Amino acid sequence: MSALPTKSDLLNACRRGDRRAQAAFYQEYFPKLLPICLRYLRNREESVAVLNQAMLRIFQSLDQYREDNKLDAWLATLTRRTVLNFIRDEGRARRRFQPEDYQPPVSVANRAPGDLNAADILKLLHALPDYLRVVFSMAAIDGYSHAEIAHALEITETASRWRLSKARELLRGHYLSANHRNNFLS
Amino acid sequence: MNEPKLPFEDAWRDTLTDHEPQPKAGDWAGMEKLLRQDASPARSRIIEDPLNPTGQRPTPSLPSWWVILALLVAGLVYFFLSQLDEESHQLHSEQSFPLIVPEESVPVFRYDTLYLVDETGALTSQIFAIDTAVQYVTPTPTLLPIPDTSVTVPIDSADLPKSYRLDQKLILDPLPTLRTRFLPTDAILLERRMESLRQSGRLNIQLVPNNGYFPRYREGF
Repeated sequence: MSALPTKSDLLNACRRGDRRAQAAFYQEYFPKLLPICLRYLRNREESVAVLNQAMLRIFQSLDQYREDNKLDAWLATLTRRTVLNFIRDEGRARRRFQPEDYQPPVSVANRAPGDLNAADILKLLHALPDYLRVVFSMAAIDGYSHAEIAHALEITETASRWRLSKARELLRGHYLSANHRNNFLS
Repeated sequence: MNEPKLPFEDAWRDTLTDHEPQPKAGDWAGMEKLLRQDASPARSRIIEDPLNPTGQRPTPSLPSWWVILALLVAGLVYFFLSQLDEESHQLHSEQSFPLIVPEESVPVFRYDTLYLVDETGALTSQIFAIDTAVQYVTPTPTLLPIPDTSVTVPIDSADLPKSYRLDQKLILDPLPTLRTRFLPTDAILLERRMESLRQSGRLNIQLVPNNGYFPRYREGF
């Protein structure tokens, strides 16, 4: 009975272009990398499309990876960089497609905001305009500083601060309006 | 505007970090398609390499180069043919028609102001005419026929007359008076009227060349 393949074996097989190894790698790291895309982008379809681009870049760059037990961080960095490149190329960090105070209807579970599950949190995040959601995710979820956000999105630090503040204000409004609607319906 | 940190942001971060959505069947299918598209250029390179083991640049594919070359040749042939056709057309037109040498600029005079004076020469009144009489001096185009030098007719000196004798009647008869065969136009009538005034010494006409502007209105005195 042969031993189970180690992570190193899997990476080597992926470097050789073994399609079954690539599929196994994809299945293993998809759940860890997709949430990064989900909290930056608009919906699941777009997130999967960008994640696939990131995975392709990962497969192409596996030769450059030195096995130092920080694979997860390396993969997350590559994925986040791909997402930010996509956002920057699309010009979403600058465009404002909807009025700042526009609140699309959001339906979340009627519970305290701290107790919301991931699906409900993503619903609230996806209700934000692109240029606010990106800044909120970078600052509040991924822990970037305003200087890093400004550099990544090619905006000023003041703009980054303003957007974070505006995103928080809108999130609070979205949550309250969703809960008010739920209370009214129940 | 400084919205404070939301109290539930840390909880959201933990929830999102723990969130691990599973891939669907279609997700891997899209990824596989991307991998195939990425692998196809690499495979073609691998197939090409044994055919060209020296590392030199591969021979360009025949059709594309021949098409470009043929287009270039066709363009050059068309250019030279059009040049030849243009030259022959110019020669033909020069031989068929006499040269017409018109005047470049035609002087146009406008009778602007009519001064009426009395017997002593003092100005009695002044009439401003705006665009009433315009005289266009149109020169007759000069026609220069091109001598036909292509045909040479031999002339025998015996055919030339020794002397010319003119008919005396034609010489002595007075020339008939030419009559105009058309009615005088308004411009001619005005010209005659002004000529009579000029003859009587009561007219002083100032000719103003038409420089593109109407004469400016001047107040009489």
